[in-house]
Amino acid sequence: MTRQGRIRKAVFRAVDSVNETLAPEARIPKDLENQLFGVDGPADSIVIVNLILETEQALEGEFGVLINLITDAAMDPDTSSFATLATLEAHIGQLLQEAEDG
Amino acid sequence: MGKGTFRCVTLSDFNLTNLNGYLAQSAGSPAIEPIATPYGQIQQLLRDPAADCWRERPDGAFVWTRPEAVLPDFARALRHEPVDHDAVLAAVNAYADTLVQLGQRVGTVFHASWTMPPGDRGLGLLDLKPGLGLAGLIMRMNLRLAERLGEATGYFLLNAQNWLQEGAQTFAPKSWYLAKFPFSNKVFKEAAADLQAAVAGLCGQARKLIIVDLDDTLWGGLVGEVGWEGLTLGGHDPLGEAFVDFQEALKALTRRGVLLGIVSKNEESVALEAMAKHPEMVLRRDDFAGWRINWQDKAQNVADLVAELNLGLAATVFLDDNPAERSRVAAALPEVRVPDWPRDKTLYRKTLLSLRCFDQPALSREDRDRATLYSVARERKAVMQEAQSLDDWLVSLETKVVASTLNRTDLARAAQLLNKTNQLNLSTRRMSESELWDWANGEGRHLWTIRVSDRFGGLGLTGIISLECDGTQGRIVDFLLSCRVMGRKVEETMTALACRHASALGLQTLQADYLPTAKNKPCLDFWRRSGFDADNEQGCRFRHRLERNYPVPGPVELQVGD
Repeated sequence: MTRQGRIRKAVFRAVDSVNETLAPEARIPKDLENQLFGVDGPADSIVIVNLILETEQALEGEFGVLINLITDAAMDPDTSSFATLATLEAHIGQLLQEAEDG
Repeated sequence: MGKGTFRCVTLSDFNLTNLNGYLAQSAGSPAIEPIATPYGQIQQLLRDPAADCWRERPDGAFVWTRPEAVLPDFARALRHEPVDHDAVLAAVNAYADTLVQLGQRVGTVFHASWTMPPGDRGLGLLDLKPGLGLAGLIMRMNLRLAERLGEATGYFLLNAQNWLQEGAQTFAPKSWYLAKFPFSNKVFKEAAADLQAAVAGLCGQARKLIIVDLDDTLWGGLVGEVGWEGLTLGGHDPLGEAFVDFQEALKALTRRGVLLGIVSKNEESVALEAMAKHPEMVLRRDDFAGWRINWQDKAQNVADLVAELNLGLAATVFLDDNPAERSRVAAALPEVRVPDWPRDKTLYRKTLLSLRCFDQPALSREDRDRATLYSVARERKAVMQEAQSLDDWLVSLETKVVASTLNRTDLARAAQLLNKTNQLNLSTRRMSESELWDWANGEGRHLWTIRVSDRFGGLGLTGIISLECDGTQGRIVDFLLSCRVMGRKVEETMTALACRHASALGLQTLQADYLPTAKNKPCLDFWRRSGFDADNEQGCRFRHRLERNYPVPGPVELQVGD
């Protein structure tokens, strides 16, 4: 599986975990472009915290490394890495690359 | 409990959002509706009966606190300041006294046991040192809390340490700093599952019967092919030991009131010979309440066996190593719990012990003796087959019924019976112990517990009848009887008891209102032949004029205690 495929697997596993705590109408769809967080995003802050924590755990399981998803850039509302699952995947890809590059 | 939903206030000094999410989304039965409260408000909410969360009369409360948040001396101990451990225990007493006040607002209170902050090793090698170690102190605090809450009715201390052991990743510091979650979601998920099991047990939904397959489930190998001498069971063999351990675990469950049955595709004589002759069999014939060992469809056999034992499919668990048989039973009998079963036989015991469906709020002598009672019942049935007529059989049993006014000793068993009896149950009321006690001691009410015995031995506390008086009229409110003693004139004896008491009070009529459920038609059948007159168009009200004598039936002796 490609690195991108493994990232998606980890992110979707995290989405599944978070959704276990949510009512059907509040669940995060596995749609890469769906707005998660921000002005139009439906998710509340606890859901985003859960998604971050579960994604970090899933990435550790998948890649065997601890990735800290919360960076200053990631939390910037203008360029939020948590706006959609697609931006989250891109953010993870960048962090993994940085970890590999040392 | 309204409409099959258990409404539960959740209280904590930390964020329980995820626990509430797991509870609300659980597919378990009964449904739990968590009533969330703001975290960090625990002392105020415990002390304020007028707070919003108590307004709608919730069924229960779940309290989960970090000890360092509710006991300042323990927080100091965590910082390794010198602390008098007896003073900490005195603070536990005071905290428990506050919790006991909740009993006036809800029927049931669950509290999670206290745990050390995740990752805190306390004083290392001194951590269990009396008077010094924090791990030792927290054990004593939990013990004290358990003792104090154990003195009150309707309080249960849930073992939170189990939730931390289940998942390796129990804590991420980030989750505390971001959202005030002191534990990972794995821990919250385990806690929600335990709470769900506890509520199911309280509501009488614990499973009562495990039906097991034989070949490669109870023992290794096919007995029809290798004979009992060739089975893998015990001995100096890893799998043999695993099967013995699995049987030990099943046997242990019988001491918690769970019955065992067998459904297996085999020759009955061959299988029973193996049970009798194999020297390392833990479970013998008398450990099983019944069996269907033949070549018929397993789903049909399960249904037949459950009916024979007078239990419900919803009370049954089916264990089989064969996924095809599991799938067949699960599809044909969806009420039966059919857990996934591991291919690895060394995991059988662990998998059995991980099932949460046997939790009960009380463990009575009747529970511990249930397997024996069913074994004796088989003997009793054999006598029935020899007897000339039903009346001859009833006379031969020498049945004795002892009625006692509800007392504290019998309260747990009475509440258990009230909450789990379905078939012969007039009103199918469900109440916690404290609610039952308060109701029974209300003015104009009387509630008896019914013990039955016969020449084969005691059958235990198996019935409840209660009466409420209004002017010159009496009403039978609860009338319920375990299926173990149905059809043996105990029903008529209980009715005679109520009539006798009502007459002594000077009442003129006695009435019973049948409330139909999906399962209590046997109760309606009894009242239709009871001798009471059907008194409304729906045929659900039965009335008796007390000027007419209602005698205790001939084959039964009735004794009335205090």
